[in-house]
Amino acid sequence: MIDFTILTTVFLTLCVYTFVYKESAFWRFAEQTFIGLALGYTFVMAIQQIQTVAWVPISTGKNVLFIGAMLLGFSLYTRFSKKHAWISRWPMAILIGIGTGVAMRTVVESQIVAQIAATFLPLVTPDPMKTFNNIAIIIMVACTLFFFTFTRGKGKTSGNVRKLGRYTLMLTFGAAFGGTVLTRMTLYIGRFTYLWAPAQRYYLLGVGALMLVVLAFYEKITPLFQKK
Amino acid sequence: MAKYNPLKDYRWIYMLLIIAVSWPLLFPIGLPVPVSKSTRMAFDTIEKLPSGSLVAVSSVLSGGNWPDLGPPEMALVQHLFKKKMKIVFIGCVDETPTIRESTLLPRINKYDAQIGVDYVNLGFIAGAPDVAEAAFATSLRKVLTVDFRGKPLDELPIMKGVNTLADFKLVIHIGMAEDPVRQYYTPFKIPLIVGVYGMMGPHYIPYLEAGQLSGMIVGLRGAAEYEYLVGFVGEGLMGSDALSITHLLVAICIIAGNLAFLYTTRGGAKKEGTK
Amino acid sequence: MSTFFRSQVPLIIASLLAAFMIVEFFLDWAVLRTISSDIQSWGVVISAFALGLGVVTLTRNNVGIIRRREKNWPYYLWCLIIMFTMIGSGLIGPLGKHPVFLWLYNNAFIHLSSTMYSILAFFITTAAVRAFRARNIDAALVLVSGVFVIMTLAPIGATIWSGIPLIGQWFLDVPNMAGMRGIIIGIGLGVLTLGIRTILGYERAHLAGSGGEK
Repeated sequence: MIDFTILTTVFLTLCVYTFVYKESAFWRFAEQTFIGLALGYTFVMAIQQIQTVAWVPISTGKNVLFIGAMLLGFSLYTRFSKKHAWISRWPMAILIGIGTGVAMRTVVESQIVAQIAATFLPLVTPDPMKTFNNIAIIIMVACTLFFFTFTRGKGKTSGNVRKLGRYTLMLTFGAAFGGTVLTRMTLYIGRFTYLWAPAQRYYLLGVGALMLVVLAFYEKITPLFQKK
Repeated sequence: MAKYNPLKDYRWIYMLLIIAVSWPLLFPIGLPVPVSKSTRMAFDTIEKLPSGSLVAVSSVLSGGNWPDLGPPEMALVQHLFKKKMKIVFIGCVDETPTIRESTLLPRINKYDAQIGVDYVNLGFIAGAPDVAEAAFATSLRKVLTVDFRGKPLDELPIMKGVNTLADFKLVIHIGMAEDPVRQYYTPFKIPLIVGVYGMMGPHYIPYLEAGQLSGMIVGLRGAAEYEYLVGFVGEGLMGSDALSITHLLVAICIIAGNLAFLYTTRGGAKKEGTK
Repeated sequence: MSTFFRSQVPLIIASLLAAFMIVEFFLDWAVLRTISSDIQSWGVVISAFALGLGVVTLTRNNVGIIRRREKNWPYYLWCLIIMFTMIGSGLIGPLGKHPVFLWLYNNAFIHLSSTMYSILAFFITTAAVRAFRARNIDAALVLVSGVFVIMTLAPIGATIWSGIPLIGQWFLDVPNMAGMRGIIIGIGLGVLTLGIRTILGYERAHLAGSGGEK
């Protein structure tokens, strides 16, 4: 008995993976399905959020002022009208204002003061390796900040400081690349673990073989569907 | 017509990658998973909390990032349930509550925890992550009136007396770390543990060193370490062998590519020299 | 007057709200906190409406393609069909709880979504062979740091040689930490600068694209 659910999940997964081989009808089908499902899901969740945050307080009389919020929300859709699109700037401005204020009020403490304070490390410690590391960190942080602030400049000393800052950043980007590899491989391992599970394995082999055959003969098949 | 050059056809590398992932899944190697300092810090933070403490778990979990963020969240939530903590789940993106209900919570051993009493899924808050987290932290009762099932918050015993983030003993955030450091830790100074994408782990070490984070689980590797500490086998430990082999493959590819580059440039220089 | 409502009022709104949110945080007065909570909840409602913009944009775009019978138009028609199926099933009964909606989410969307991201693994592996070259000292530093961190993040690194995780962890804890700290401070200064520009009304990027750029 074929499990339609597993067949669907395996088929859709393999449709996306055909992109690695070459762009095909399978990939285009999967791409458009994904876009449709993503937007459909988001729309339903948006309605749910509006209902719970705004409509419930309005309908129960707890906070009728949310009518204003709903009107502003609807006015976002005026951006599709050439004549009235400027109205959508007002709710956008509210979102920008809130976002800016909320981010700014804690960024000084969290990202500037705390980080600078944490850079004040002891220059002499009982452990020689820790001493070396602390001195290296202080020098590298200073050089990196110097590199960002004084991107261009004259003088051999400032040039060397900028160079050290640049080398520090290169080592940072290398570490970031290592992390990127971890994420990319994790995402792939997650999918493959699902596909290779006992319940899905035979569907994978069957559907995969069928799709490979179709892709191999794809170039011979597609002209049959094109208008002459 | 151009002659087929197998060395330029990178589909062989795709095939190697498929073998590198499937081999450990079929024939597990069982490599040991050393526990890193950041994971150990997270574990110790939760271990030190008294049983029954109120913990907030906020997340940007979605279908797309499930393989990277799902295992860390599962490992942390499993630990919380094991320690009999009271858990309030909140999402910062629209997919989070649905994927929690359908995929995360059914796979966790809840140790007889009751919904509404010991844990609750509050749904999600729309908006940019900073704004959603700030709204949850400071205006919880204004932006959330019902839980994800539709039950009013006033009728839930777990939400009694909970108005802001100050009422929580610990916050766990699964996703990026800058926003929760800004919106959860900085205003309230409550211990914050993050479960982050693998690629962001190196980015957030400064926050860990500055004491703004009480622990950090980095992607699948961190999840494997945490599962080992908690004592259960989840997606982290199941995938760690495959992680090892794929990473080894990438490292070999980098080294091989550079050796080939050195050989061709040196070979080209030698040919130039003979002219 | 028209320019005032179209351009100046949005700038004033953004500026005042940003300033208010900052002042409220530092003054810690109950009345300001209440107003701030209300403002944030309005922001959540407006953001929820913004989530629906994509549906309208996609429908307009795809209907145009289908009408003009452009290349691959049947796929765009399928996109609309599946999108409205998802919306229709999600709005029946309790929102987002219909079996069809949940089936589509759990058995189609999640798998498509995670697979889309997972194909990047293939490209990063080929990039490692083709593009990651030590052409100069900068690239060599990236390479050395990258290889050690890759092998540190995988459990096999410690098995191959005990020095790999030691060196890799050093790269993470010292140069990477220092560089990232510099970047974090730089980002913080950038956020601060952008915020001050918004409060002073110099930042007009959010006015673009909504018609009548004046």
